[in-house]
Amino acid sequence: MQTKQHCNEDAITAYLLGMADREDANHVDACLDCYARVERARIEMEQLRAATQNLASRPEQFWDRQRRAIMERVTPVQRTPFRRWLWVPGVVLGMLVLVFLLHLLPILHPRPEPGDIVKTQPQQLQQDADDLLLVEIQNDLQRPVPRALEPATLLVQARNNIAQSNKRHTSGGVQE
Amino acid sequence: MEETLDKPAAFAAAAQEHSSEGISHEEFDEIVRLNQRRIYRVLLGIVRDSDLADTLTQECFLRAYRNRSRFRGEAKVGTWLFRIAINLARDHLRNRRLAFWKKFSSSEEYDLDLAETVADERATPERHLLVQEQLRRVWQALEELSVRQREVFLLRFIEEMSIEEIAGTTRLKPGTVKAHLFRAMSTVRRRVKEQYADQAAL
Repeated sequence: MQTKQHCNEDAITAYLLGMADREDANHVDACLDCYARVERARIEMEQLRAATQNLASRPEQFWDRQRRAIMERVTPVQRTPFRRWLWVPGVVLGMLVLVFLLHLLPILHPRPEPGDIVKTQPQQLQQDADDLLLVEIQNDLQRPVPRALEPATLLVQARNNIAQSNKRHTSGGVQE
Repeated sequence: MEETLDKPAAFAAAAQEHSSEGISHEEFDEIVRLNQRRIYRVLLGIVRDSDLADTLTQECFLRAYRNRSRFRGEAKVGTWLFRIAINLARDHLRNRRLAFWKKFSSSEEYDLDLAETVADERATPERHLLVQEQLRRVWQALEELSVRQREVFLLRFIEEMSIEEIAGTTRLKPGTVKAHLFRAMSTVRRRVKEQYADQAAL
């Protein structure tokens, strides 16, 4: 016995979702038409579900690639215990290398003996400049007149020459 | 039958028994393997872009891995992963809402692209047509839903979650989930019905 008119679409939807009120639920259970509508709706939803799953289906390679990509991005973040203790031997190894290099350095570059000093280029240039200066001083010392007084000496010499020639003229004139 | 993801052991173990950093590579690989298909499927249903769904799926697992210490084992791993995935999808849609709708709301090209993507795996022309038709139906049905309705609908009817699980995943109250579900369901049913009617008329 049907106690009411057929359910509307909202009531069918509510029934499908398990949310129908008691009156609608009783009607659907009793009415073949409404029950058929509910079943049709259920099939539609099932088709929709199948279609969506179809849509999201991918070949196995896709999932493998996706998983590999995820795991590759996860791996650098992961801190394994191995890496945690790796720094200890790393530091020890570094110190050993440093000590070894400090010992090796004198062997590779031996300290020169005091007798055979190898001059560097700037040292050589300085030495040359000093030598030149000494030669110049030596030359200056050997001059009869210091270099600075040379012009004055020349003036005195010229005046003496003039005076001497005047004297000669004067004495020559008296003789004539 | 697809493997289920209700296997919280690995993650719960990682979060509770092991130290927070102690989850092994193999354990996490197993979690990815068990859950990646469902996460991808839901993300594809929400964002409706296969490349983007792939990217967001990867991002979802990365985020889960980085925040694994926050997983307390109260919910199922799958629920927790879905929550992350849905948050990612929401963030993405929020940031790119304009571009997203401009690109996809009325684009038939996109449907065809997707149909070709899927059809690559299927040889016969009949199968190709069937897939295209199914896609068209799914997309058009989901198109009218809001993002929230789409989430709830996909979780209920595609992933077959209970109202409580959906509420846990979306952080909505069960009553609100029911309301969204009812509206989504009504819209989809109406839309699918119209499509069948159109087909019958042809």
